[in-house]
Amino acid sequence: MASKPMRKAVGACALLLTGALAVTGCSSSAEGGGGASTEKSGTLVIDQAFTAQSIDPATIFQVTDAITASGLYQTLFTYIDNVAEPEPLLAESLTANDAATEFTITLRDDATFANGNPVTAADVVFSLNRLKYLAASPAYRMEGITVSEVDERTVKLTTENPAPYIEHTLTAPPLAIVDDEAVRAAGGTDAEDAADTDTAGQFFTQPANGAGSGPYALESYDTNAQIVLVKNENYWGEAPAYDRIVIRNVNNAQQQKANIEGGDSQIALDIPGRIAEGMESDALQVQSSSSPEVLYLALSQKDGAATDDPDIVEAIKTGIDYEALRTLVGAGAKEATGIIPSMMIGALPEGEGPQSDPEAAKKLLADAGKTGTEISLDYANDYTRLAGIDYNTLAQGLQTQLEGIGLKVTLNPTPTSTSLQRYVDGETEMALWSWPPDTADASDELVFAPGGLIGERVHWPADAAPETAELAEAARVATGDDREAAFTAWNESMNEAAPFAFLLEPSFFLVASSSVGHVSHDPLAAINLSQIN
Amino acid sequence: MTHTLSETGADVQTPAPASGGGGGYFRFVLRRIGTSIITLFGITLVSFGLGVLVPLRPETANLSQQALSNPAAVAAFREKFGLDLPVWEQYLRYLGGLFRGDLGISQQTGQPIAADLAKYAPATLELVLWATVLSVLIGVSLGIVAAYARNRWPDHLARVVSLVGVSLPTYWLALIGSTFFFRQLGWLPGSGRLDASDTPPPRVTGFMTIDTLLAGDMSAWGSAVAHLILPATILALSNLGMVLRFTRSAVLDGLNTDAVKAARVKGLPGRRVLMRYAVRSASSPIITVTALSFGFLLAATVYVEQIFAWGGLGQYAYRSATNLDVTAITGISVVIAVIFLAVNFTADLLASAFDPRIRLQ
Repeated sequence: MASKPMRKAVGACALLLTGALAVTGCSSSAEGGGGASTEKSGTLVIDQAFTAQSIDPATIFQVTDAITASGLYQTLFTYIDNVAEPEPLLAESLTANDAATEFTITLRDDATFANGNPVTAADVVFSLNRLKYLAASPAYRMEGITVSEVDERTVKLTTENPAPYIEHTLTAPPLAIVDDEAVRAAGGTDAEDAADTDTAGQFFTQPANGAGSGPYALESYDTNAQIVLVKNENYWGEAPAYDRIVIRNVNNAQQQKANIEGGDSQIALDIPGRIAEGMESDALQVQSSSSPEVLYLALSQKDGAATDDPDIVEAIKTGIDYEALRTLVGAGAKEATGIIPSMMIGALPEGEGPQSDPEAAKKLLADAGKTGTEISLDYANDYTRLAGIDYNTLAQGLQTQLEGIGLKVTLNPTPTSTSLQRYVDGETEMALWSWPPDTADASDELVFAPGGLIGERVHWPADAAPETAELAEAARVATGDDREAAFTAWNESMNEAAPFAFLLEPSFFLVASSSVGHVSHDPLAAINLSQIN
Repeated sequence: MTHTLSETGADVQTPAPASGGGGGYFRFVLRRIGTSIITLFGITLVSFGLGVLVPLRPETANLSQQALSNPAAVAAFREKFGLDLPVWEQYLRYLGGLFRGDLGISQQTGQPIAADLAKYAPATLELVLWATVLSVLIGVSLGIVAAYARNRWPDHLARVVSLVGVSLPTYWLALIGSTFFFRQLGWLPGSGRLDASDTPPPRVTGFMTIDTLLAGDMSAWGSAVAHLILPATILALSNLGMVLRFTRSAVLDGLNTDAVKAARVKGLPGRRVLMRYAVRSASSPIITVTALSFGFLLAATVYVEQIFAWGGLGQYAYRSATNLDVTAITGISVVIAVIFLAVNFTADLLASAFDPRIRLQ
């Protein structure tokens, strides 16, 4: 028989449990139970692993902020439903000169900001110049671009070099248009010394600041916990679908899964494909769509690097079993056909990408006396942003395959910050990365060209592959129907000459409650809040 | 007062010499304050030192890839946050700011770190407070029972509970708890501090359970309490083993004292002997373990906050670490150290009040 103290302890525990359940019961009954009630009450809950840093459009470069911005602000052009074809949003029309260096944009006449002010050419000039002169992370998007006001509804953009892709550039969240009057009143400026004098940053985190023209307004912005948007009562377009959108910082994919299955959220953005695929049900929809990213191996051409050897580069590119890698990653991924993803112009058709021939690679190394060459493979061991792909698994798969052709691969897993730092500094020998695009246009991939931003990271200057460099330049300035052919030619040349092995195109997975009528992937911001209904 | 672990694992006071009266007590307080300041200084040095010794550059985590390849953008970032200065100067500047209550600017939020900490601390304190109450209530009760029924089944059961609590990772417990009680049974809510459909109450204390009450919103209060139960219980479980073992050992030591033997010889009932003599003599270590629990749980909350999207210091610390925000990490360390030292200091004072054998110098 239990002693009295024992009985008391058991009694206390029972009392505690009863109390807890009673409170839960009260709470559940009060709320109507679970997340289904949140949607009924007009609240949409989105779970995402946060990368939030700033909601000032001129400083946005993180995915969480881009998602938030898609509800608050509007750009001149936008992508709709993951189609890489910009559609006018605040712009009504765009005309360009033959050289694609001057662009005249007419604004629509019915758009207003949340504070009631009309969207005018002055707002466009202010917003784009502020982005340029604030000199924050996304300022490079305005490099070589000059903007001026023609009249109240017309602006002119002039570019130093031909920019036939300008509509794509104008879709990016940092190029969102804000109310110059409100931002100036909060200390904002578009003067050339804006980097030192602009003090409007925190203004954008204030509730209902009214500076955006999107269907939602800000209720609260917390980079740590959650971001809440509410319906913009003054929205100039069709009324938004929800009264309130709550974007929560839920880092763990399993918890995102539990939340959406339990009805606590309606959209989950970070559930890996291999898990998401098994979640389709009457209550949940799983969407898989093309990602504008290509997963690649960067092979350094730095003097002394083992990969600074045409035989080694060739052996790696042909020695990889791309099909096996795709199977390893699973869930919607497809073999890359080149550096240009299949959703963009210039992409090569399936089957015309890098060909795998491990036996030939093995023979090449053996004939050249390079069997047993040691190579280190850098990768970010905590990087799961890309469709939840586990880089550890992928790197181990690559190690096994390359050792199969006679190379000795040492894995060098480090956290993203460390790995990226080594890559940016050009210190990696072989590195596993992907390139998040700024736009869904193939011109964004020209950073991989010899002498380009990524090309330099592998010590591949323009004079190392002049023909490929020329094709890149030709693609950059090509206009109209010539663009596709120019990018295709460059893409093929990259497959031949570049010290990169283009591995896979992962799919983006999105799990949503079936009660969400329409939601689709956005090439730049994961999802576009203004397009959910 | 100092504490050591006896062979049985109990926390045993080393009796201090006789009191010097009010002056001795005053000297004790001053000494503790002095050691606390030195400890705090050491914590800033270690936190800051570790942050700058690790060969990482914060701009990698805080600038876009394009900006990273632009030396001017990198230089501007480093200048803005004082990262271009020699390490010793950065540290001295940090200390100077600390004396003025300025913990610096967070690289990830762009806000003063003091403001960030003030914003996030209540969420964590609310969670840790309830977890401490739970773990101490259950742990102490089970510890007393285990000691009283030594080597019988309640004792064995308590040891198993203790072992399970100590052995299972908090992160795993949180995942399993959430899956079972939220996903499978639907008894408790999942993430956050409040149901998403509830509008948060005006912030007064930052404690959601209090602010909802102050706002008179009983539905939101129910939601706040319901959201608290699972993370607080998981957190409490992670600490339960330590409290239980500490208490059991202390009470066992108490049961072996001459006073208890004398009381038994006198024929006092066993329960009375247990509560009046053994448990009372164990009160000091129990107070100490409560303070230790609070400190332990403050650190353990990082895992639980990650799973339950709690939005407190734990999540802030995690993001600061992954963003290489050394200034924020140091700020969090300082604040947690201050809380921990204050709780320990209070515990020492309380222990001296509960246990008359303790004399402070």
